[in-house]
Order: sequence, then structure tokens, then C-alpha cells
Amino acid sequence: MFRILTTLNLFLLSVFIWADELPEAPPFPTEGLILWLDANHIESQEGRVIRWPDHSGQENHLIQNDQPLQPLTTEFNGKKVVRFSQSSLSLGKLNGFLSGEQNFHIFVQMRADLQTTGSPRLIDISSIQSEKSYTNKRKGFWIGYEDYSLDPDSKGRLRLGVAAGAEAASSQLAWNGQPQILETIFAGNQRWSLYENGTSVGHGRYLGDVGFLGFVGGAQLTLGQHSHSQDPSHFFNGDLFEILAFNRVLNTAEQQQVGKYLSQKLAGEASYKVASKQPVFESDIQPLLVNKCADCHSGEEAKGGLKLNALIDLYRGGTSGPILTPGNAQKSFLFHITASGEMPPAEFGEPLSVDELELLRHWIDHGAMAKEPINLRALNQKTESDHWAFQNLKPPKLPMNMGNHESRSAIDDLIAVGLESQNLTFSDTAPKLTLIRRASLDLTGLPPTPQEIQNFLQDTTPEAWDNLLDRLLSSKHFGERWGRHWLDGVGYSDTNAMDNDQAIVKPAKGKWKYRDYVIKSFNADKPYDFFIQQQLAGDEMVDWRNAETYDQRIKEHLIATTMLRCAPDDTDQDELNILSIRYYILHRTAESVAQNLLGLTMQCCKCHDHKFEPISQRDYYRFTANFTTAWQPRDWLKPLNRELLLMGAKEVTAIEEQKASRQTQIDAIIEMGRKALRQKTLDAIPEVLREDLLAAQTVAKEQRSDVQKYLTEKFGETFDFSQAQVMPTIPAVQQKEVTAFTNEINQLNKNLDDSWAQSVYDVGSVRPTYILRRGEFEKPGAEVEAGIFSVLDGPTVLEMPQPIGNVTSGRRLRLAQQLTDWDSPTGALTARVRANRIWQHLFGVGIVETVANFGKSGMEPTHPELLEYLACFFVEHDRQLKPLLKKIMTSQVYMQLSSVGSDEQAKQAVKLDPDNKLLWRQNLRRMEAEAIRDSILFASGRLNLTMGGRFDDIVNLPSGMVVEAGYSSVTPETTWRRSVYLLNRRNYHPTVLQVFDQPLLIEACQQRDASASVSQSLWMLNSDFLGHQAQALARRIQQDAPDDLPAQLEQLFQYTLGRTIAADEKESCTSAFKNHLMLFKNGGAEDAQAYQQALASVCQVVFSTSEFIYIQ
Amino acid sequence: MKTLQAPLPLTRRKMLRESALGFGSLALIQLLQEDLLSTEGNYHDLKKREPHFDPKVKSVILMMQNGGPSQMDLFDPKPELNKRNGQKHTGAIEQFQPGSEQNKLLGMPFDFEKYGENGMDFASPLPHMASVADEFCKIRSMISGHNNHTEALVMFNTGKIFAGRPALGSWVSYGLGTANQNLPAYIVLRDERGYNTSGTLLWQNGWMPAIYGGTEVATQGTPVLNLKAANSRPQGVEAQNLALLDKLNTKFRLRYPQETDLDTRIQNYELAARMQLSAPEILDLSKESAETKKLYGVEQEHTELSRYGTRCLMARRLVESGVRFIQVFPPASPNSQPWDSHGNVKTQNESICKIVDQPTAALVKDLKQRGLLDSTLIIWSGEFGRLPISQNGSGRDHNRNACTTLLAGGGVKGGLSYGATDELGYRSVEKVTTVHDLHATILHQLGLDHNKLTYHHQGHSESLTDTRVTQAKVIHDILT
Repeated sequence: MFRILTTLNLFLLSVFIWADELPEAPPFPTEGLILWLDANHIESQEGRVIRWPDHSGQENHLIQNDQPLQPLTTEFNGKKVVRFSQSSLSLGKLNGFLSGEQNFHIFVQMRADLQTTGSPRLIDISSIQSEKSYTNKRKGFWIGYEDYSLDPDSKGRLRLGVAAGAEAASSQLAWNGQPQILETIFAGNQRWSLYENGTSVGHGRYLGDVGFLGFVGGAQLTLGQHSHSQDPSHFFNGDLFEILAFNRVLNTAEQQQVGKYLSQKLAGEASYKVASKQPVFESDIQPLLVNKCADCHSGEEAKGGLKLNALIDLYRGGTSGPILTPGNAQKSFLFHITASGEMPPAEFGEPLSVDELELLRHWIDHGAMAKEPINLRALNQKTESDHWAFQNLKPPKLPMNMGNHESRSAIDDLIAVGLESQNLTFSDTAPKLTLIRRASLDLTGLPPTPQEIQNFLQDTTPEAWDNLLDRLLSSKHFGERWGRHWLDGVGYSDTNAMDNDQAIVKPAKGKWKYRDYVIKSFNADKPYDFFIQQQLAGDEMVDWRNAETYDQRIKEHLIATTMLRCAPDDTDQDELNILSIRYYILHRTAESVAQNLLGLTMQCCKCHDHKFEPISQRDYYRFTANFTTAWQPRDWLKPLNRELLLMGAKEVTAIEEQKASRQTQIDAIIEMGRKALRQKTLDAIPEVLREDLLAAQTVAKEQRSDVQKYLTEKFGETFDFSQAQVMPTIPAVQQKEVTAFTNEINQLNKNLDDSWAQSVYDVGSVRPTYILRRGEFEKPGAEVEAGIFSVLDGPTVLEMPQPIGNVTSGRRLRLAQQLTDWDSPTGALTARVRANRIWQHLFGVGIVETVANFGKSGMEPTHPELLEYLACFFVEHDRQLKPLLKKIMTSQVYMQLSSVGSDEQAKQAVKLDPDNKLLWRQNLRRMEAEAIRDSILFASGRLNLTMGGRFDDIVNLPSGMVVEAGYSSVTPETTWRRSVYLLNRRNYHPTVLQVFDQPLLIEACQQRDASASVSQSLWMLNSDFLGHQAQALARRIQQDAPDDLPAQLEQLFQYTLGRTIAADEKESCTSAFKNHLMLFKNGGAEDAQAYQQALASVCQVVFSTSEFIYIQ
Repeated sequence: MKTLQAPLPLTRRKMLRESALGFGSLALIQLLQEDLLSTEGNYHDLKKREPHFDPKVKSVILMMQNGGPSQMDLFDPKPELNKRNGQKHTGAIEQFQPGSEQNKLLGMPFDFEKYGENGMDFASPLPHMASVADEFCKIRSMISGHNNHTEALVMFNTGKIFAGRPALGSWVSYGLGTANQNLPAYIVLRDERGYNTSGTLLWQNGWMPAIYGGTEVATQGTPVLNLKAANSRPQGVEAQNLALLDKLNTKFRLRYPQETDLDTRIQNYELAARMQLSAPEILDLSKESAETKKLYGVEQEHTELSRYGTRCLMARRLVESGVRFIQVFPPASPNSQPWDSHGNVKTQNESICKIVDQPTAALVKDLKQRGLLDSTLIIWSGEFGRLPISQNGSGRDHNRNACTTLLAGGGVKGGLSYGATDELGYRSVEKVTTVHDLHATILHQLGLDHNKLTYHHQGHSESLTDTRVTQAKVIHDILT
């Protein structure tokens, strides 16, 4: 009752001052205005300010509930003011102030009382990350006065700085007791400026490690006090008239508008100086630059490639990018580097004076103009290049076949041009036996079965080859083979982290779904446009944010974006969740896309313009900007926070409810059983003891009497039976029920777990992207827009796609559209790179050998017109893979022999073209690691062809061997799935795959190595795995042909090498087998066992042959 | 179909087969390959290659000390720290992990003395290393690339902070091949119980062929993966298998006279057979004298000292066998970064020094007495140093601005203390030395010019030191 009365009382006593309304349209720009406090609009109570409302529309109202700390509302020279005297106002979360390094521009109309001690703070913006006590993560910014106690001479100087960081002070006294307009600008790049009444009085730069203004989760604002400090010397004493804050930097014109507005309100008290003159290059700026900069920046030897003699040179910039952003000094590198004092270097001269800097700033803000208009057209023209790879697609003129060579298609005619120039021809067509093995391995990664071989050999129709290819192309195993190629190219790993610790595997939840997506996409022969659009921007193509439930289409699009989650990301570890690493991940992601899809290595351009390529540093950051909306270092999501549950909230709730209901049912059954069991147990105990026993059970073990100990030992510690104890005692029907419910719960949990995806999507807001000088994020230069390499820019600029759900930037979708704009140079490059990659997988070498470098530093195509033809064919045939594969595989160049004949023609060919660059024969190719392992399992009959789903685990043995999980309990029945389904680590691959050059996936891999190392030989001779498979194969051929060694050996060759065993081979194998048999028998093995082991030994030898692991 | 016949190589192959020793003919196979290999571009084999200039050393032993040994507590005494122990430090110190908030300086827990003719500083927990002070060249002014273990270790071993590039040892194997064809060129000796921080990242081949990657050789059981058959077979089976395999492979090879890879494969099976004979000898310490065993501290098995001692002793045996590059790692258990003394500088250093000190000194002495020290370069280093301020009371946090690296052996000035840190040991201030400088120097001692040792990768010429960016230079001042 008392409290209500008091409140009411206060309410009645309150005096609210509501002065005249604010003008509807303020006479200054309001874009980015986030705080507008005017002392004419105050909510007060007994003359004390309780709330200072914000009129910016951002609801940033400041309050003070603590009465002793409430400022006064009063007047100064007839103007309404808020008077601070050991008082403060604050705001918990400053809206409109984004997290991260946010530019701002703050105007304060104020009057300060003279103060003799302390370091009073007028404004304090801070953000303290509560969970960590890292000093460098405590962010903040403040404006106040010099600490008198430290330096009495500095009394009255304005000072601004950052928490736990560097500080800067004005060069003159501002503590004069008179009203003034104070202005603070933070212009990114850790640089700020301070103004009094429109005149620049100081510049500063924070030289700390990390962006100091990394406000995490919003900043708090305090007026009149150093946040949270009770120290009287930390309070500001004086009046505030008005405060305006913008979350951007105003240019000079805008700045003057605000200044004018404020000075009019304070007419006669403080006037804002407005520059009367618009600086002109020739008279104001050029002399300055000549004086300060031209010693180093002129002539042929100009430092950093930057000349500062003529205006056009300023516009052009230097090797680290442009230095001018006309109309905006704050975004201009030239202004920053001079304002910070970094240039000119101390040993070369004095820094620019404040007046000179003002001049420069005004000049840039007013458009950086000269008396004579300059011709800027040359500057804006796109980079031209006559490099072959950067031209539009042009179907080549097909040569006439004069009958000098075997030709099945235009491909052959194009190859033959080169052959004929050396007087060479194609080799003969390979025998059917070779062809079916070659095609099966190339298309499915598995050898043909003996039955398939027979069918093909017997099919003598002209369509036999076509039909075979059609069958293989439509095999579901096609996707497993070609999907694996793609996974290499994007650098897929089941983990997000760098994976540097052998003992710790951290597979990302559901990431494997991307692997399945890729395999399915290849099986469905998804057009390449759609395929890469989904992967680059699936999240921008469907409105998943507003979806109530995720249908198949939404899920697929979100899963596809995992392509952009392949760069190692260790930011789940706090120590590594730092800006430099975040930038690294962003840059790696962009570089990987450029390399995989466009065949362009752009790493060099990160720090400087490319020495060899017509790709500029600006291009690098323009390309990177496509990804910054998703991988924004300043709005970072750690991997664990980035993953998405592909299930609507309703679905999750439904599953949780179902789980709970099943659990309740289980509990009820078990509880019933438990009661019955307890009763039954008690019934079996002599009645006289029951009560004592139950009592004994309640007593703590060590406090029991001897009798109690005896009883509990004899009859049991407790009758609270566990579920496992209860289960066998309940009726079978109920047991079944419990089991069914438990299985159901497990399945539901698995469904939940499997519903996560490692997706990419736009986060936070769209922030500007800057060129980073020398690639360092602390050194941002000019701002750039998202785009493609200027050398590839088509004549028409693609519009930014309409955002979906109003949250996507559309940048990645537009990039995907640019990449697949087949009539543009970009699309042409995409198609060429793709066609070349396909060729590489069928011939071992690309037409451009450096498959990931189509730039000037890459290799020239051996057959440029063929590449052009294939790229055009690909584009014309719906960008589908299968038609192109069939086209290539039905050509003579593919179908010819890989071995070298003995005739003159062959001798000549070996002599003229030993490396087979002209393709006078097919290449002999060592199979990839996966194909080797899969072929072994296929031949041994132990391959499990189940597709998709969670990966199969692998195990690291202490010896360093990495094997399939379950390895220790292998039985003759054990089967293994294809290698593509084994857990994909970046390091620590299964030994079998590692020794056969499965790439470490720290970076994406566009070209595998096919080494011949001794560890491969050792693996073949001695590994447990191959031993098992040899045994399995031995059993298999014994079953096929019991007690018939010749037939068994024939089968052995059929299963492994897909051919009949030759007479001499049969002889050698038989002889080896017989010797083995004797040795095993002598070693004590029983007859049957010895036979099997001897046969297995021969099997292992055949697995170890070169013939088995090569595609002929 | 055309009949099969191999033109020229058949005769060579025949020569090989007819020569008395099946594998004594490697040189001929190499000749054959040399004929066919194009002269431009990268190497893809481990043939012995000539260095760019006369080398000072033939082998390198990199003794990696994961965790970051405390330079001011062990090698680089700072009396100022003891004077100001417990005082708050006003200067900016780059702190990495929590616990150093108070910015209080921490004194050194151990006594220092000067050893050797030139008076090199060593702290009391390192008596054995101190006893060979005149063999060590101590770089006190190293700086590291990063404050986190993995990045700093990857940088120390590959030249860049992000994994994916070939390790120093890979560059050496690539540049020089190997003198001993019975053993891998680049061998890694790690704790048999597990990997240290960053594991295989520190000896990977990156984008070079896998033959240039480090081969882990175990100090227990089978030294090389799959060296022995998983299932035991009667004697003789293996030899027959190899004979049968050779027949089948040779027949196939004849169809492809121009494919040198197929030769390499045949050769590799021969090498595998030889390795099965020769590699177990590396493990066989029975021929070592009692005196030697005592020197290394390996008389008693399964102690921490004997584990590390065994790796050091094996390193010597590998040097004797002509292995080019050997990495020795510290204990991986119970901590994969044993030098990482965040908690207590005193106790943590005492315990790891007890394990590492004696065998390290033993290796130096043993190589010297066998006349091998001059042709071997030993590098003993952590990935970064530690801060002058305390963490968690008596520990120290990571410090990338200063650390100490010791070198010994071929062509380095023994007894030299090179470079200096500031009065608190926080920053290297004099003759600041980077990992890239160290790499350039190591290659230089092997007779390789770090700017000329290049590998073409996707159209770019890559080098270990990437001098254009890193400004790497050979530290001639420390060389004789």
C-alpha cells in the first residue's frame, strides 16, 4: 500500500516538459541517423532528467533511474540544457550501431565546466564481452578530457580513445567554459578525427592488434560518465544541448549542413565555420602533394607504382589499388594515410598539418575536381586481354577429314590435325576387352563383371559400344565416381576444422548430405548451370527462412551450399576465432571458387596486382565481396552456430513430443514390471526378515550394523531394479513393446541428427568491402562493389537478383548467373574449365595441363580448337555431362589402344612425341585410390553397394595405420562400402587411400598425383586388408570351381584383370601355387587350409600387379 | 592387333635382369629413366641429385620441441625479470590466452650459469646440454609467425602458417633425393604412443608427390607401415610371391615400353623386399654398446627418458645410414605439447628437461665422437617462446615475438650466442631472425640455394622460403 502511494505521489509531483515538436523535415541529412537528443525535449521530474528521448526513430532513449545521478534540466543563456554534475544517463543497447568496426559521425553541442582533476568522460560507448576476460576483446570508445593527474599541462585538451588502447588528443584547449560544437568521426581503419566548431583539431589512429570497435552484440552508451565508474573524477561537469549520431561518415557538404543547423540554434554562442572556398586541384592540392609526396612518388621509379604528379595518376592509384574515392575523403586511402601520419614517413618530412588535411578532405569531399576537366574514360574501361581463355566461346571451324585418319567424330578430326602435322595417325582401336574395362572404370570406378564382359564380347551389333556406354552412364555408380571427382575439386571433407589432431575427429553434423547431393546430382545429370547455382547460392533461391516446413526442394538447395563450407574453419576454438583467421576463411572460400570453377589462381592478387595476369588487386576484392555477406568476418558465425537444422520448428516439436510419449510408455511398462519384480523378490525372502532388510537398505553402507550388512549382502543392496534387470522379467509382449518403442526413439534421434546441414547463407547486414593493402585486414583501402574479374566482365551488367525474404543480398546468386552466362567471357571460361576437367578424367591429362590455371601463367591448351569444340558442345547440350562424355568416349582418340605397337609408325610416334601430347594413343592411367580399393573389394566379392547416408567410420591405430572401423572383427562375411562413403578427413586418410595419393584436403585438389611409392608396394605385399580380400577372393574362386585349379586361376584373372589367363601365366601361377601349397603344408596347415592359403597368396600377387591398378 | 614388342628398353631391361644382382642395377634403371624423363619441370623420384654448390652437411636432424620452450627460463636469462618479479608491467604485452590479466612480471625460477669457452647461458635443468655448450650456436632472437601452436608449428615446418604446403624435409628430399635407396629419404621419429600437436601436418608433402612426404618410422614394433606381413606365412612364400609378381609385371611392362612408372613399380617391389631386410636393423639397438645406451639414457625400457633417448639414438643410426632429413619429436603423452608451460614454469620445465636434456646432448656427443657431427646439422627449437609476465600465477603464455633456437653441427659457429631480446625477453631486438631465414640457412648448409629450389605448381613457381614475400636470407653470421 505504501509503495503504491509513493509511486502515485511521485507521479502527481512530476513535471513533464514537452516543448515544441521537432521540425518534420530536419535541415540536414537523416540517412544513418541513429541518435538525436535535443535538450528541448526532455522527460523530467522535479527538475531532474529521468529520460532523454531519442528522435532518430531508433528508440535510443537514455535513462537514469538512480536519483542522485539524474542530471538537471535547466537553461544556459536562455537555451534549454541538460546539466551534468556527477550525473549520467545511459542506454543498455545502442540500436542502429552494428556490431563490428562501425563508422560513425557524432555531433555534440556542449559546454564544459572547468575541472581540475581526473579524466572526465563526456561520451562512453562500450561493449564488454562478459564470458571472456580477454583484454583485447573488451571494446570501447570514448570522448573526454586529458587526465590532469597524469599531465597537468594538458588541462583542457579534448581527448578521445579506446578502452585499453591508444589515445589521441586535440592540439589546442577546448575546455573554455563556452558552448561549442564538438564533432567526432570514426572512419573505419581504426582512424578517427576530432573537430571543434567545424575545424579539425586532431587526428588519431589506433595501432592495436584487432579492430578495437568490435562491438559484439550491440554497444552500450553512457553520457557524462566513464561507464560503471564511481570515481568522481570520471564524471563530466557541464551542459549538453544536443547530440546527433550517425552510423556512417558524412561528407563535407552534409557535415556543414548539420553544423549550420546546430550553430543556428546556438546563434551568438558558437558558430560553425563553413569553408568559404572550394579547393581546386591545381592551386590547392597539387602544390601540397609536390611538396610532401613527389620526392618518392614521381617518375618511373615511383614508390608503390604510385605517381602523384597529375590528377589522372591520383585516380589511377598505385599497385595496391586506388587511393581516391571522389566525394568521400573518409573512404579515400590518400586521406587516411596522410591523416594518420603514416605518410610521408617520418624520415622524409613532417606530417601534413591539420589545415592541410582539412584542405585535402574538402577537396576530396567536393569531388576531387580540377579546373581542367580530366578524361576519366580511360580509367573506367574494362581491362582488355587478348589471352585466349578470356574470350567468348567461338565454335571452331571443323577440319575436313581427307581420309588420312580413322575418324568417328569431329573430336577425332580436330586431334588429327596435330597428328597429321607430324605424319602420325591414331593407334588401332583397342580390343573390346580393353574397352569395356576402360569404360567401366572411367564411368563407374568399378571393373566389369565377367558376365558383363561376356555380354559385351558376344554383342556384335554396331550399337554394342553405344549400348554399353548408355548402360554405364545410367548406372547409379556413375555418380559415385564422378561425384568423387567433384568432391576433390571443392575440397570436401566431413569435418569443418583443419583436422590437425589425429586423435580428435570432429565430423560436422550431416555434412555428408552434401556428398550424397553431389552423387545424386551427377546421377541425375543436373545441368551445370543449375548445379553450380545451387551450390553457390542455394540459400538465395528458396525462401527457407519463412518456410514452416522444409520440403525436399528447400533442403536440397540448402545442402548444396556446403560447397562453400569446405575451407578449413577452426573458429569454433576461441583462440582461433580472430579476425585474421576469419578473413583467411573468407578469402580461401573465394579463391577456391575461382580456382575450381574458373580455373583462375587469384591468391597473388590478394596483396598486389598480378604480375602475369590481367587481374588486379581490386578484382580480388570485388570477387571476394560476393561472399562477404555470408562469410562476414565482422558478423562471424562459428561453424557450430552456422549449421542449420533442416526441419521446421513444428517438426522438431512433433518429434520431441513423440519421443517423450514413447518414453512415458516405456517408463510405465518398466515401472509396472519393477513393482512386480520387487514384490516377487520380497516374497522370496522369509517374511520375518523383510522389514529388517528394507530398513537396512535405507542405511548408508558404512553405517550398517553387522546384521544389516549380512542381510543386504545376502538379499540385495536395493530393490530399485534397473530397466535392464526388469526387462527379462516382464511378459514377452511387453518386452517387444519396450524394444519397439526404444527403437522408435533411437530412430527419431537419428532423424534429428541427420537433419542438420552445413549450409551457407547471408548473415548480418551488408557491409562494405575494402581492398586490403598487402592483404592485411588492418589496412583497408578503397571500397569495392561485388563483381567478377574485370577482364571477364561482359558487355551487359547483370542486375542483382531480387532478394528472397528481404534478407539475401543476391550477390552469390548473381555471381552464379555470371558464371553461367554462356554468352559472356565468364561463361565461356566456366565451360572451358569444365570441359577440360572432364577430358582430364578420361585421358589423365587436361587439354590445358594446368587444369586449375587458365591464366597467362598457366599452360596453353595442346588442342585449343578441340577445347573450344568441347566447351561449345557442353553448352549446346544443356550443360549436361553425360552427352559430352558419350561424345568423347565414342571417338577414336578415346577408343584407341594405349599400348605401343611395334611397327614403324609406332616407333616414329614414340620418337616424335614421347609424351603423347598429340594423342596418337590413349594414355595408360593409374587408377585413383578409391577405384583401386573398390576394385579389390569388387573382385573379392566383399563390396557392399549400399549408397548414401552417414559415412563409415575409420580408426587410427597406434602404429599410424588408418583402417576401416570394424577392422578388428573381420569375418569372411564382412563387407565394406565404396571408398567415397568412408569418413573424409583432411588428414589421416585410410592408409590404403593415402598411399595411393588420395589428396590431403587442406586445399581443394584439381589434379591428383599418381605416384609409384614403395609404401604402395609394402601395402600390397603385407597389409591386413589386402590379405583379407585375397582370402575372400580365394574362397570365391574355389566356390566357383571346386577342386579345379586351372578353372580357379581362370576365374581369378576374370575377376581381377577381366581377361582370360594366358598359358604362360597359368604355368607360373600353377607352379607358384604348388610351391606355396607345399610350404603351407610343411608349415603345419591342414590340406584344405593350406590349399586356401596358397591360393590366397596367388590372389594377392595378382591384386599387386600393375595391370590390376592401371586403366589401359 | 599388333604384336607386342618393346624396342629399346627391352635390352636395358634384359641387361638388368641378367646382371648378377637384381637390385644392384638401380643405377641402370635410373639411366633408363633419365633418357626418357623430360629435362624440364619437376622431379618425381628420389634419385640422388647434385646440390647447387658444395654442401657443408649431408643430413639434418630437426628436433622439434612442441609447446614452446621458455626462452628466458632456460636459455636467455633476464636479470631484470627477477628484479621486478611481481611488479606490474606498464608496457603493452600481446596476450593470447586468459590468465595474464594482471600483467605482472614473473621472475626466473632457475639459476643460470655460463658454460663453455664463450660462456653460453644455460639454466640448471639443462646440465647435459650445457656440457656441450661449445657445440651449440644459440639464436636468441628468433620470431615466430603466430601465437597458436598449430599455426606456429606449421609455419616452422613448412614456411607458412596455414597447412597445405610441403614441409622443409620434403623440400630437402625433393632437392637432393636420397643417398640410401633402401630407406625413405625423409624419416619422422615420433612418440609411439601418439602424435604431437599438429601431427602429420609437420611432415606432409603438400602439393608435391607423396614420395617427398616424411615416413613415420616407429621406435617399437614394425618400424615402417606394412613392413611385415599382417599374417605370418611360411618362409619362402614371400620370395615366390615376389618372383611371380615380377613375371606378371614384367610381361605387362613390355606392352608399355615408354611408361617408366611401370619400371618404378617393379623396382619398388625390389626395394620393399630390401627394406624388409634392412629397416628392422634401424630398430635393432642390440649392437649398441652399453656405454652408448647409458649416454642416451636407454638402458631401462619404457621410461620417458628411454623413449626420447631411443628416438635420438635412432636418429644417429639413420644419419649413419645416409638418411637426409630426420625429425625427432618430444613425448606426446600425457601432453601433446610438453613444453607448453601455462601453469607452472618451474615444475613443467623440470619434468620435460629431465626427458629431453640428456638424449639431446648425447646425440651431439655421439655424432661428434663418430666424426659425423661435421656433416650433420641439428636444429633444436620450439615453435615460439613465452611471455615475461605470469599466467595463472606461475606459468607463462605464448610469445611469438621472441624464442630461442639452438643449432649444432656442420658449419655453424659453436659457442656463439647470436642476437638478443629486450631487457624482459619479450621481443627480439637485435639481429631478428625469422623462420624463413632459418630455412634458407638450413638449405644453404645442404648446398641448396633457397631461391633456386623451386617446384612448379599450377603454373606458379613455388619455393620454401617465398623470398619475394618473406625476404628470407641466409644467416651467414652464424656460419663458419
